[in-house]
Amino acid sequence: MGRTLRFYVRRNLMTSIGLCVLAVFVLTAILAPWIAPYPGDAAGLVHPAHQLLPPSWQHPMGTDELGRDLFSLVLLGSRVSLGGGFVTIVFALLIGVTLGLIAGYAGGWLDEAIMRFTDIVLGFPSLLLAVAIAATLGPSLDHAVLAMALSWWPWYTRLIRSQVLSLRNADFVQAARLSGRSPARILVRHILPNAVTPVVVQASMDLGSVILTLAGLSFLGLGAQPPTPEWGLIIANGQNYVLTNWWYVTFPGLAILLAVSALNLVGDGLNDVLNRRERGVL
Amino acid sequence: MLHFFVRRVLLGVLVLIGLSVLTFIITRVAPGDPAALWVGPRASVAQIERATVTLGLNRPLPVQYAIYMDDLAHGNLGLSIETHRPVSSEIASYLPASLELVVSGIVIAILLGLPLGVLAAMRPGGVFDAVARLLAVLSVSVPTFWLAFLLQIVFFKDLGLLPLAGRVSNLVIALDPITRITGFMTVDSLLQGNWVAFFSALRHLVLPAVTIAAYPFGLIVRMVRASLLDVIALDHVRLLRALGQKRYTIAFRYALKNALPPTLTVIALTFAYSLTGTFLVESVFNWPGLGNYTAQAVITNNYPAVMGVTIVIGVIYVVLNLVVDLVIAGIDPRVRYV
Repeated sequence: MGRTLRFYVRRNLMTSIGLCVLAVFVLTAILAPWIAPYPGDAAGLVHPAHQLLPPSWQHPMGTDELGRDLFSLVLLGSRVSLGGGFVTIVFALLIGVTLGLIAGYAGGWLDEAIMRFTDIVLGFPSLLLAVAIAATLGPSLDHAVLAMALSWWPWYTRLIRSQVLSLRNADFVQAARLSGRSPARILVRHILPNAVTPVVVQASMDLGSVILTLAGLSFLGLGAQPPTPEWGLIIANGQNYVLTNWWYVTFPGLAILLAVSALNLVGDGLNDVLNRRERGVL
Repeated sequence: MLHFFVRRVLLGVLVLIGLSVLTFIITRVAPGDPAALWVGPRASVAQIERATVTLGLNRPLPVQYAIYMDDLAHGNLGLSIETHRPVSSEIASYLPASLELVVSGIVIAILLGLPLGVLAAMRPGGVFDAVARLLAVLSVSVPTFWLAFLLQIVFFKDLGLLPLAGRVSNLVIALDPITRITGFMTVDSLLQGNWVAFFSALRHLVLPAVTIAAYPFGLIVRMVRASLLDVIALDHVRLLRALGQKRYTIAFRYALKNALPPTLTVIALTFAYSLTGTFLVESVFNWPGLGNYTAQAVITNNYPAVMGVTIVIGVIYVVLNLVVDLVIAGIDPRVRYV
């Protein structure tokens, strides 16, 4: 066991580092309310006497203009940012996989209609859609998540559909059909389990981009609203202090960079393992 | 080839029509009364009612859409609710600033990303590969607006090398103004032989362009590396090796050509993506581009402006995809028969 592990780590150093960092972030997100030194600061407490202090042992990331501990805000913010990204991907998967299964299995005009609609949504600039939805429904974290899910699903529809197309005439599917199973049951019980792997890999690789987009929307004021501690929102609050108090925007941004990098490294690793191809040497 | 071309063009038109319907619905169900915005904050109820009729807002939505599309077919994007100026001329005045930014960003990304991707693929697991993979991951993972702030802290505040924001310095605006020809300030100042303005514009362009370049750079490195590794496994590359060609010649002259199609697609897609994603960067660098214009239009519910921008970006996106598909079909004959 020990030797296998050592072998794996040496072969996939980057993925292993990504996994470790990701594990730390997930643990932080779960335990944040208990390990944050000043959990009250995210709930509206202010300390005018401590405003804009540089990093120190009491405040490892410094404090903001209201004297709140930035380290606590960043820790608690991991729940909002990682959680928001995760929920977005789950929603996008639900829509995308359902439509892709139907399009691939039904074929004909239904397939054509679904895929052309997918093309249209893909052609829609996603950030613009998110901005339009936030403007229509009012800015909030939930609406930002909804908007992102609504612009992200087409990728999964395409992937699932191509998988279904290659499976729908397979022997085991024919057998299920001959024994009188309903199309819905065939899709869910027989095709889906065999078609889902590439989509899950893709989704894990997308999680980082979704978290980045969410941070961007919050930065523009269209995502999480104060006093919710969200990484993009903390940076937006700090933008007036960029040149005078460097720590304010630096640390929340570093948290985004680390978390998203870790997710991308793990996604790449998964992709390498599941889509192994013969590679040449030059 | 003709069949392929016609099918792609029809699909593009379909996408654009769908896009216009979708945007039309979204902007019209948005709360807020465009007629009230049109006449201004001190208007009477009667004035607002008159504006509702002038703007055609009292008609059924499908009729409004038909009228809009009819105008569009004649090249008319309507009047801005806020300024009462034609949306088409407003977009024409903001678009070049964004294009200048995005084009410079993509060029930087290609110039750095392409060679790095090739070097990484030549020795997988080597030093270049490790550096390339790390840089690629970091650059697709960095929040653009945060990178913009970091660059401002380092290059403006700490080193004092580059300007903080804007397109040219106020001194240039006052003493050596640039006459607008293309709307690309660097190009215009060069055309006029205005060197002071050119260097000012160039210095202002560096930080935002580098910020924009980060994301496409990472994608290009990954794409070039991955597709080159696939190509290197093919027989003709082994043959070249057996014939005694130099490794660099094989990589850059022969293998790269086969590895280019997927990279081209990625570049085209990121171009369109960067064009819409500029507002994060434009807002930090106070860059008077399309992103800032759109953000303002969305906030004030200036629907003709939002529609106009969406359609212009949609057209750029569709045309770009079409061009890339045709170029790829030109490079790789197999695509035409799929």
